[in-house]
Amino acid sequence: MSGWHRFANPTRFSRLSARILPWALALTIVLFAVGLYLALVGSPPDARQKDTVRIMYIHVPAAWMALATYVLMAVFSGMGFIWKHPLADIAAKNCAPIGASFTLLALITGALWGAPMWGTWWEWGDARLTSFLILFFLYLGYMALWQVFEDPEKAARAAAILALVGLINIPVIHFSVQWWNTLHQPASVFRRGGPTIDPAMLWPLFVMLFAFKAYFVSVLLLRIRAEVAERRVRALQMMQAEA
Amino acid sequence: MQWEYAAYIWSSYAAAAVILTGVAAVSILRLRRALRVQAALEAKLDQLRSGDEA
Repeated sequence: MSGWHRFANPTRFSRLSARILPWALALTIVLFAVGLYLALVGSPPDARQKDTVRIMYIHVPAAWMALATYVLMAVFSGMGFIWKHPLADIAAKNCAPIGASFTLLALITGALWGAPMWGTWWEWGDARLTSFLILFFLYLGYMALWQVFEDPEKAARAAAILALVGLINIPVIHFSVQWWNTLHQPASVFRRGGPTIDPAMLWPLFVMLFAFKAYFVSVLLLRIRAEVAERRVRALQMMQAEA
Repeated sequence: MQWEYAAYIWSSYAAAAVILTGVAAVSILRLRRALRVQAALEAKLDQLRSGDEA
């Protein structure tokens, strides 16, 4: 744990992240450029879904990242809750808007994919769709809790409890397509027996997934650095008022 | 490109572009502003401290 705590020092983190950020941003741009080319030009249309399958290259990475970001947010929240480390709380707080944007994107692209394929934009009786909408509300609730309390420590504790309780929704989302009859198709990549997707579509999907991951790292670092600087500004303002 | 259902596909990519660049742009602007204010305050405090010493 001592290694983690060393990097959790805000000053050391700001210095380290300033060095990593340009590389992370450059990697994001390169991966998106390659991924978009493969998704829109380099990959074939699906035999049954035709060209609508191209929505998958946005929808699936956004949905995977929405789930992964929530888990990471809960892990950071738990670390902040146990060790009361401000940087863990800051990381958790800044995961939320990124995760919410991934969730919103997955919901929008899901509706845009569902309309031509299922004949409906939305189906309230579908467990995958409704549990994913709950994930979006969990993100919004988490962000709202941070705004309710003036004391950042109290806000962090309350938000952490919500993040940890909300974790129960993650396996529900994942297994919803197995537990209930849904319009949404079952898992076709991370499943027992290997992926059912043709490699010509699987590779562009993975490139886009890594583009989303690099984007997440870049934006999270940007937001954590901004929050650390804002807290420093507040401390400086107090010092100035006392001087 | 003569795609079937092109409007749905382009709408998806447009939504991704708006949401992802929007969140990134807001984050960059927030960081720049915070660093600018921090530098200004630190300079002002240094000035106050050097004034006290003088």
